[in-house]
Amino acid sequence: MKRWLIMMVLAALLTTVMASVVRAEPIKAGEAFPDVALVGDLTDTQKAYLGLQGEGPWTLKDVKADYVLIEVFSMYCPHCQAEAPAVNELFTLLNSSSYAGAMKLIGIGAGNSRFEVQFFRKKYDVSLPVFEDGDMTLHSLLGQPGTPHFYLVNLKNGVLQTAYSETGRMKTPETFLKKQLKAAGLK
Amino acid sequence: MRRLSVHMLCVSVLALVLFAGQAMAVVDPAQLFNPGHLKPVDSTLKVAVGEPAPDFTLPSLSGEPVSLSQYRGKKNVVITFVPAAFTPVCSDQWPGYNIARELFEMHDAIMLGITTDNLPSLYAWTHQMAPEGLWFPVLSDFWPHGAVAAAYGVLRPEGVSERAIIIIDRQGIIRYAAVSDINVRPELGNIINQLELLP
Repeated sequence: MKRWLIMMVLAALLTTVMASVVRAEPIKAGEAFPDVALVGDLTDTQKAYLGLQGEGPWTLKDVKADYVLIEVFSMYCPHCQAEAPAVNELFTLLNSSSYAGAMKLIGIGAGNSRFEVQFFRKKYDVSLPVFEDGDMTLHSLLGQPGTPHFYLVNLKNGVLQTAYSETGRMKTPETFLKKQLKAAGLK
Repeated sequence: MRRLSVHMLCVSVLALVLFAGQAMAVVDPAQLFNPGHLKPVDSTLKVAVGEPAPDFTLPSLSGEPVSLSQYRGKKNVVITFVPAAFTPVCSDQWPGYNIARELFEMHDAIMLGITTDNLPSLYAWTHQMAPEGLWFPVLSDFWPHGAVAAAYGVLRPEGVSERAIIIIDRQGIIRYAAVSDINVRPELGNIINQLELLP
């Protein structure tokens, strides 16, 4: 009986661990967001933008901002390829706004190696910091979203909270930025 | 107890593999057939590095038949065998090659995409990936069914090809032959690295 009980507890524990590792659906607004590891070949300008030191790996909590807007993309995804100019424009708009210091924009290349992420960056003249996720670890932790998927994460007080979560392309960078500022309570 | 733990571990690992292998949909998800997790490799290569590549002629989406030998003395050739149109991983592979034309041309290489699907299916599928079609020739190994895949030793028992990359130099000699886990997309950087090794 005692052995059976131990087995049940172990099974429950393993299920919990598995559920935390592999989410079946994207993290929703209002839910906690994992402090995922960020790995990438960033320029000095990109590191300065995020307030990062050294060569990494870093985590989301290392980013010096109140909010981080994340685009989960893939070099192989035609929707992401088509969305790249809009994301570049969003980056420019955000950085020229009065909220540039409060909200930062990054990309995570789901299933993309360093080579693939860097190729995407060069192909579409992407200036924002992009991180690699070759083995889909981050993609699994984030709930296996379709691409592109945008998450807005509140980093204030060291507690990571999802403020926005949606799959699909934005209508326009302008309206999308307004939507993010509203979700963050900044405007 | 030990048997249960091993069983639980197997289920967990399987779940991880299944979920991790799910590629993001690039064609309308409603039009994708998901075959689930397949046996990683189910054939035996009949070609080897250093050997002449078996020649073939296949119908292409352009309407013109394409022969491997037409590139001899002119271009390096990268053959990408993919299993089936309208499946998740395949639909998440060629769109990446489609934006990387310059990487192949930098190495004086043409890519040939081959599946055992028929031309109408390939037309519908590739035009969903890119309305103007793909930059590289897409060839149908539909009839005699899978004959080219069989000649290279990449035809699986169920009649689809493996997910394989074959690199052939200008002299028609195979310089790289890799059969991937059918559930996983080959990494682009490795293909380009192999092209860089060509003389």
